[in-house]
Amino acid sequence: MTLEKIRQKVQELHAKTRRQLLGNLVVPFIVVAFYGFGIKQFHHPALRSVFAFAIAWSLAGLYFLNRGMWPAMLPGDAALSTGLESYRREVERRLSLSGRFMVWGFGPAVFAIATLIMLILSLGIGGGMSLKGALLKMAPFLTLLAIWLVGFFVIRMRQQRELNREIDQLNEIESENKQ
Amino acid sequence: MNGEASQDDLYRGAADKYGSALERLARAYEADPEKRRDLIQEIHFQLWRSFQRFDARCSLRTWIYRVAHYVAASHILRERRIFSNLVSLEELEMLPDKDRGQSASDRHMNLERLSKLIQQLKPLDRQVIVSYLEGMDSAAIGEITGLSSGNVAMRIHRIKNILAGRFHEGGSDAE
Repeated sequence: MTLEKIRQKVQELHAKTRRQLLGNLVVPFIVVAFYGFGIKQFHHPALRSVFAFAIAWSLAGLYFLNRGMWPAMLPGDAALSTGLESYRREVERRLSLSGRFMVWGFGPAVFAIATLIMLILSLGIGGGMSLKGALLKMAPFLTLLAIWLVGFFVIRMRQQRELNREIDQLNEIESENKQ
Repeated sequence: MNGEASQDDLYRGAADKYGSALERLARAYEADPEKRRDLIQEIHFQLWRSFQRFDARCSLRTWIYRVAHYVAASHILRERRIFSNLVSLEELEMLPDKDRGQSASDRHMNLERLSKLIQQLKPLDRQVIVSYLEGMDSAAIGEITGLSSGNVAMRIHRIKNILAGRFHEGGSDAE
């Protein structure tokens, strides 16, 4: 690989980083706009507090997720660490990112969906529909949502379990090493 | 000598001397040719970046292999293959050989089988066997991986046994 090509890659990396940063801002922006609109429209103090909480949660999520997404280790650090150390750090970083995503990414998304469902239900009830009737109308959507939630949760948990197993195996290797 | 010139010179020297070894290393980590090309580029790029901090605390070879293995292991984790089909040495010993019964007299086919087998291993074991196949001794492999020489020797012995078993079953002596 020529040095010119490497310099080109440096520029590409900078452009990619800028694009990623902008891309990561889109979802929180939508969430903030959605809940901001809610705060403006609804004057009930409890609802407003819930919306404000959701905005704070998404913004905090944006910060915590991005902090974990960037490479934890520079190539120079990797060269000064052994393969075992740098691999362990990378697996731990993935595990931490996976856990963080559940709290700061998945959590606000589920909360936003739950709020939306509550709003639709309350609009239905306000329009003279019974709670049972409104729920029945939403049954297909709610079923799909439940399947998605369970599937997502199961896959994430399996990934976390496997990463934990990987760390256990690295621990075993380290103890073998010390013997 | 300014820093950038030194970084460029170090990179040029490394790419000249270890370019083909890095390609073999990438082959051990990525089977798909397109992705492998990207991986090789990424290794070269990260290697060039790393030389900003090269201070001769370890040998140039150790430095290069540590960076390359780190980039390749991160690539595997990013591709999430860690969750699917990578195996430990214990598991690999138990796995049936899919290529059993095939004529393995062809050298190219043997190399393909060897690559496939290495691509099933977890990153740390790949580091060991890739470095071994590059002709390094246990001490040098230990310096790169952080494993003790004894642990490296034990792993090499087990991997060689698995390979020998697989290749003899296939009708070839590939040792």
